Amino acid sequence: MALDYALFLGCVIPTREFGLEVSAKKVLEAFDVKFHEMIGAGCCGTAGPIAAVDFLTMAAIAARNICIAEEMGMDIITFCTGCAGTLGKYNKLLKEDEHLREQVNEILKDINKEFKGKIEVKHSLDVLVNDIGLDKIKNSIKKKFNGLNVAAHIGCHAVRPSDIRKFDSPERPILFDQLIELTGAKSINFLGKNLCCGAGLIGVADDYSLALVREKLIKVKAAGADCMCTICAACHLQYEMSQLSLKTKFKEDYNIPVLHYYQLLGLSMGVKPEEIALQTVKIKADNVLAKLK
Amino acid sequence: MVAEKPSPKRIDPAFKNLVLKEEGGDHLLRCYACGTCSGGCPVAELEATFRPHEIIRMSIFGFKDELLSSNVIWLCSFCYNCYERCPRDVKPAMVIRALRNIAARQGYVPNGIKMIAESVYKIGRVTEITDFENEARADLGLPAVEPVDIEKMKKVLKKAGLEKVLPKEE
Repeated sequence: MALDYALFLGCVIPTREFGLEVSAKKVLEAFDVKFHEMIGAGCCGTAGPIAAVDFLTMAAIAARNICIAEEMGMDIITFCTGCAGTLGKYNKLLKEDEHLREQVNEILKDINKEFKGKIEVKHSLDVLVNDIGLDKIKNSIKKKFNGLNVAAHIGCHAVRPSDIRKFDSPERPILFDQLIELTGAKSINFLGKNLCCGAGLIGVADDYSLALVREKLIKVKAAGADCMCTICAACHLQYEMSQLSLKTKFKEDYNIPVLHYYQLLGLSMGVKPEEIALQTVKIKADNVLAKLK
Repeated sequence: MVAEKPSPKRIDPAFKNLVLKEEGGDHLLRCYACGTCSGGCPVAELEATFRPHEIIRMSIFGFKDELLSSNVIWLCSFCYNCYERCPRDVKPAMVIRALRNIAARQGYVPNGIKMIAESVYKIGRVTEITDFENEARADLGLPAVEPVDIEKMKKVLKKAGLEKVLPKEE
């Protein structure tokens, strides 16, 4: 049975993280997930910046997006952890808080939309684990990585705040590591594994953002990782771009390839590297490919 | 170092009420200053002036101008460690967000955030989609991105009040 979803792409993925979009679509479609475009959708409400300046604006534009999916009669799927957090939070708040719902619907009335609270918002991780299931993923594995040490970074907003993102333990998540290990790779332990990558401070406090990610990279390197694996577009962007800027600014070369989870899984499912846009990763992942048997 | 004694003018005891009313600030007064939030904060590890429990204390005491004009309220990366760990469910990250909302209405918005807010207002997204992006997408077999229904989006943004925090334009 096909799993039909309204696809909310967000801002960062369709303009900066093509590799995530290509690989997520390729891999999830192999599990019968069908994506339906959300016509006219815009900014999710951006957890960081817009929330920072005006709460009601955020609630209103999140609701506007949710309304589009409600009209399609489908749950939302998003590959973006930020969007999943924002849309998920407001979907919940608007369902529960009558006063906020009235305020928001008053705003949406002008564009002939009304939040009804009929759908759910899902991260693609939720779909992988809860709708498809680890067993089915395991059965789809055709090749296994041998001796590949992966530093997993699930990203804060995939699991926190846990009263909204009910996915895994908020501080000791293990499901993402299990997903990685299905491919034969080893999800290694490293200091500060579940700490923030600093992406939330990009454009607001860039020095701090870089300092946070540098700490992570040092620890990942020290733990002997062959590559990193992320599921969040912002974390992926942060780990790749900061490695490039640390190299030019401070002559520090970490040289750690950063793969999207769907790329790792796709390779293991026997999908060709170009079909999951492996060429788009900014730090060459030849060492990862070499360990695929 | 001897701390500078704050003059009475700088204290506004009613400030806490403003924070309490703001979305996310409603648990402010539950704080008993244990410092769990600061202990588990990755930014606090880098920056000695950033201590979420101090920000909360300052809000309760009413150090209004000092807080709103300070860059410390813009240093939180929203990792939500404090949110999970706070034994009093104060949700320190949300208090900081409430302070940002109040600060923004008073004109204190860092340029980086202003730019993103303006971008959302003008094009409906954080990042612009030009021919460059669409060509790169086409090379990877991805469809061109549908433009946002910007007129409707603007209507929502105007009525919701984003304009309050944007510079005057058009």
